[in-house]
Amino acid sequence: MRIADTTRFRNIQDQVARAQSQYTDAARQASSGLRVGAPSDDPVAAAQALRVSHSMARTASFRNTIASVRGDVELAESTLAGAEDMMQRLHDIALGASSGTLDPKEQSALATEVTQLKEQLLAFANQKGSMGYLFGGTKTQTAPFPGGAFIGDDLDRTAEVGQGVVMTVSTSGAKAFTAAGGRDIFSDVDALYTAITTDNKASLLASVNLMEAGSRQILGARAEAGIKMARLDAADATHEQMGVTLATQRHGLIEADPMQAYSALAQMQQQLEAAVTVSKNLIDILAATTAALR
Amino acid sequence: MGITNLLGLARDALTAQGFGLDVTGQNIANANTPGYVKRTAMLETRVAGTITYGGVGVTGIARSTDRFLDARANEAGSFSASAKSRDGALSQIEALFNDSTGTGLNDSVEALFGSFSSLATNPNDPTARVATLASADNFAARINQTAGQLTAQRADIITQAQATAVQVTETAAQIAKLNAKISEAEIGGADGSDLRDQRDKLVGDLSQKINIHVFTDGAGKLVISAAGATLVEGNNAAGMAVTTSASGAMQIQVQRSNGTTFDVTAQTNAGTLGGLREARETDLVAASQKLDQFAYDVATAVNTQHAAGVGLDNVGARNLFTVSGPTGAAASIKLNAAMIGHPEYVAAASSSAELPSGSTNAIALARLADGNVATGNTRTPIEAYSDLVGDIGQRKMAAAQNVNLRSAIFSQAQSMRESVSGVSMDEEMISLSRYQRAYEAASKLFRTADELLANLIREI
Repeated sequence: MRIADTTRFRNIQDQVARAQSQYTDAARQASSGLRVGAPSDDPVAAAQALRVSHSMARTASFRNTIASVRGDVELAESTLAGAEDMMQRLHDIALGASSGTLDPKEQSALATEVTQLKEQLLAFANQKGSMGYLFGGTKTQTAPFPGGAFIGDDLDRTAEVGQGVVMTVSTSGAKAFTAAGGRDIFSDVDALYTAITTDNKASLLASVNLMEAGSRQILGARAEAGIKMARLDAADATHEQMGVTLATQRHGLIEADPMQAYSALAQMQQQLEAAVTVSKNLIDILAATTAALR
Repeated sequence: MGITNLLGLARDALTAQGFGLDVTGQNIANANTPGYVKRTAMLETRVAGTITYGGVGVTGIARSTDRFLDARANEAGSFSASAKSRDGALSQIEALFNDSTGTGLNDSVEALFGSFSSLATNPNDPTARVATLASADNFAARINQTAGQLTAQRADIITQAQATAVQVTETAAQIAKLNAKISEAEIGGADGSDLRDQRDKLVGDLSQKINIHVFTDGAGKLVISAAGATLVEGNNAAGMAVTTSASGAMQIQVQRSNGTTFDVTAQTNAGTLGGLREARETDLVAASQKLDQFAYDVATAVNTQHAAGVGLDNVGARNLFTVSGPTGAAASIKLNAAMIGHPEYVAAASSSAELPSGSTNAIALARLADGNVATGNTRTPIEAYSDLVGDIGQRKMAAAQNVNLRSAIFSQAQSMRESVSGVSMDEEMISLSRYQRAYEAASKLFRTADELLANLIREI
């Protein structure tokens, strides 16, 4: 084919421009670390990366949820442990009072101790966590046991701790302290107080059993809180692992392998230099023929 | 045969070789002139009656063109221009959905569902409630912005197309004028090469704007049809105009001077106008529709769930968003005005019984992120959004590949055309030497004849 000068120059221009654009792209990949800098670089990977990012965001939000509810579950567990100790002591008092004769002084000391223990127990039952009262069900803004009578509810507070996994994160005060869990503990403590002040041996004997039942009732609630903690920890560990996997997946989808990016950059640089050198030669040849014929 | 004849021969030769030098000079001078077609001096032996005279005569200038190659290059240029204009428009659309540079909607979607999640853990926390309203507001605002930018781009493309249509009108008028001038010049016996160069260049320019078809009528004038309607016929040219229809669609019309108009929108498939039309009526429409559907689906799903719960004031059946649609949903989605300034209205609880700290409804709202609530209840919100981004990416990628392909074909077609009509400096240098030597020889011939004549006169 006959080659016109304009053709020759246009070809040179095209080649240099192509080499330059490839070099620029390689430089972008190497400097930004992103293989997919815009959806058109790889539409399938870009769309998938969005879905993976979403899974990462969800996983992160599950972990946030777990972190914020775990504290309260742990606090509920340790509070119930304290309440259980109180019940043990009340059980001991009932046992001691039922076995011998009480002199008035002893009677009054024991009565005082029972009152104090009840107050302590009430303080535990009205314990506040980061999101309000721990044992009031969904009524977290009002003390559930203002004087011993329960005014909270027995509804669960739930949290989504994994995709499709909604679990109860509240510890039921109703089941731990009221008839809903078997015995109304505060009435039973009141009964013990009355039994001591009246030195009613039959009532005291009954109270021994009731205090033990109460203690078991609180232990049951405490064990449930412990199980929740274990579940939360297990879920968190899964999410942590999942987060790493997803990050790796996302990396593979849109990020550039540094080694590959740098070697591509070096290659493109060479190509650009080669294109420029060849162009220079072509122009020199053109000049040479013109000169030769002059 | 005589010495005087020899002098005549020498004179003709000097004229002819001088003409050759002149034409070579034109070629060299115009090596870089766009539209310039290589010329050749046409020489032939001069015939005078039946006697062999032996002189050389100039018959004119030949333009090296090939109608077929010209048409091919113009067509390739037309498609290359349309690929470029579509690619340019798609670059702007893509820039609106590039989450790797933070311009997409992904962040605001994640923030919306993330805020529901935080609300679920702290249903009674005023901060979490305010944050929920703020991220819902931001979500709506970001979609509004994107929809606004798409609309602005639709308007931009019309402006661009109108400017192109003005160029088409001007170019067509110039071609018609040149049609007249060329026939005048050539009837008068003048050389029309320069005018023909100009006319061919204008035809090439025109093919960059719209798909054209070129014929030559009986009188040698060009007849050009643009997208099927006659734009130039002999000395007359029609105009081109771009308008929008009542529904906002782009309309491309050829307007005759007598007032009749032809709608050529559907036939405009190449040139800048073809590319702009495709970008606006196919790509932008698809992006807008998908964005509308996405906004509508998410807003509707969130509204339905939100209305199922109750606020801290124990009132339910409130929507979080106001939205109309699906058509126009992206532009119309707003945070429900009744919710503004009332974080306590956010329905985290599913019933009055679990107030104030039940979060069943907030969890259900957060779980919409994983529910098939979009695209006819087949995709999750983020899947629907990723489909939108993938679709735009795919279009932009295809457009960019098309630009490369069409440019390569255009470049090839140009090379083919130039192989016939382009100036090659090597060739011209050789021609220059050739005519120079011939001119020198003719001078020598003249001198010889002159000397012979002088001797003869002296002898007499």
